[in-house]
Amino acid sequence: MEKTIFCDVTSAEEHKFSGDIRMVIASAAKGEIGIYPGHTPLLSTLKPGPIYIICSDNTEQIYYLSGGFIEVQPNSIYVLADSAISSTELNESEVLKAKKAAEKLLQNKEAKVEYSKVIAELSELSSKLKTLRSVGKYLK
Amino acid sequence: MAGEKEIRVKISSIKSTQKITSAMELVAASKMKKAQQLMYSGRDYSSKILQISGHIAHSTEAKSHPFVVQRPTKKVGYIVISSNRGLCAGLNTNLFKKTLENNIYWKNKNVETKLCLIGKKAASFFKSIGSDNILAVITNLGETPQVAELIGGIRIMIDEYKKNNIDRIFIAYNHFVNSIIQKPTVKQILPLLPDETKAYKYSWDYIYEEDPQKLLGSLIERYLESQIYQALTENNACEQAARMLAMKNATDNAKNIIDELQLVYNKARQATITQEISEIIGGASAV
Repeated sequence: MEKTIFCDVTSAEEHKFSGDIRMVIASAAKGEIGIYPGHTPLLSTLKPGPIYIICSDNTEQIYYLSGGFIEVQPNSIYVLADSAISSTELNESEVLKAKKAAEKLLQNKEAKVEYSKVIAELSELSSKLKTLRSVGKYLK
Repeated sequence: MAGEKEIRVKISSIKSTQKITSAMELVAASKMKKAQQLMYSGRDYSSKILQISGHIAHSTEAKSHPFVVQRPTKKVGYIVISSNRGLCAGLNTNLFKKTLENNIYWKNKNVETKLCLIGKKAASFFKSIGSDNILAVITNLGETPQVAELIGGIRIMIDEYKKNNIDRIFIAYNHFVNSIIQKPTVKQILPLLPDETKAYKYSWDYIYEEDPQKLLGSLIERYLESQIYQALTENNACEQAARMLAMKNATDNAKNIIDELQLVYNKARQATITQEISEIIGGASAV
């Protein structure tokens, strides 16, 4: 039997997921990290981006996290997110539409907008898109 | 026996009091629902981050972090969370009693205490007993508190902690058990309490992706925010629940008093009627 490890995802608003899993892939501070059972203890911040969880029954759970922390202990993984949205709650066409609108806003030199805000929004949207695109990617 | 008219006036005045208390009960009930939702939604996060900080306190790198090091206790700080309004039975009083008991415990050990007060009731109580150790007072928080508003006042105490002027920080608030039971709670938030349920025989450490001290700093900051915010929302839910119960009791009491007075009133009215009849009969027979 394949090894599993307990994993728990909580956002500041609500409890999202907990259960035995086979693998987690998260966007840590310096890039994506994959964690299998038996990983050595690790502590890191999370960048805004997707987190893939492959459960023990070979189903996947994907969330978009807006940032947070991940803690790996020998027998548990805790993910604390500032906010978490499940991939099932995201709508690809809506995200694309919002992304196009933001890009247009950036190209329009006359529009009076705060660049940093638009760029932050844009990076959030592309992370969300990445979350959506990864559905089914890591399943065997 | 009081006259009919006085009793009638009294009944009507109690009736209007009853109307006010029953309206307050309804308002508190609806506010409690909202406050409870806010509290439950944050509970998971704050308990998880507490758990993680319990693990962190065992790791080698963290043992030298100022928020983890256990210093000999010379001064302690209390963050006392109370309500802004009264009429919520013994909620605040019980909490203050518990806090004072704690303060006396430290006083007997020759340890100075400092207070950071949240809520008007705490501010007026500790001023009335002549406390001269108040560091900060926050009274302008609404029913949906914002972390940013909160952190300003707390920062003073945390800065004192960083400067080694305070060696331990406790938080005193009412823990929401259910809508009838609220438990006054005093809990240590700094330095981090190591998770005692797990035995770590050997010293170990995490792999850190970035500068560990910076990472620990931001994690502990988040921990503090979430603990204090959670305590505030718990206390808020407790306040509404306690007020609802207090107002329900007041309404019931008013009803009892009205019933009693109504009986007295009926008797008084009957007595006058009887007296009048007997006077008429007496007068008629005399003619």
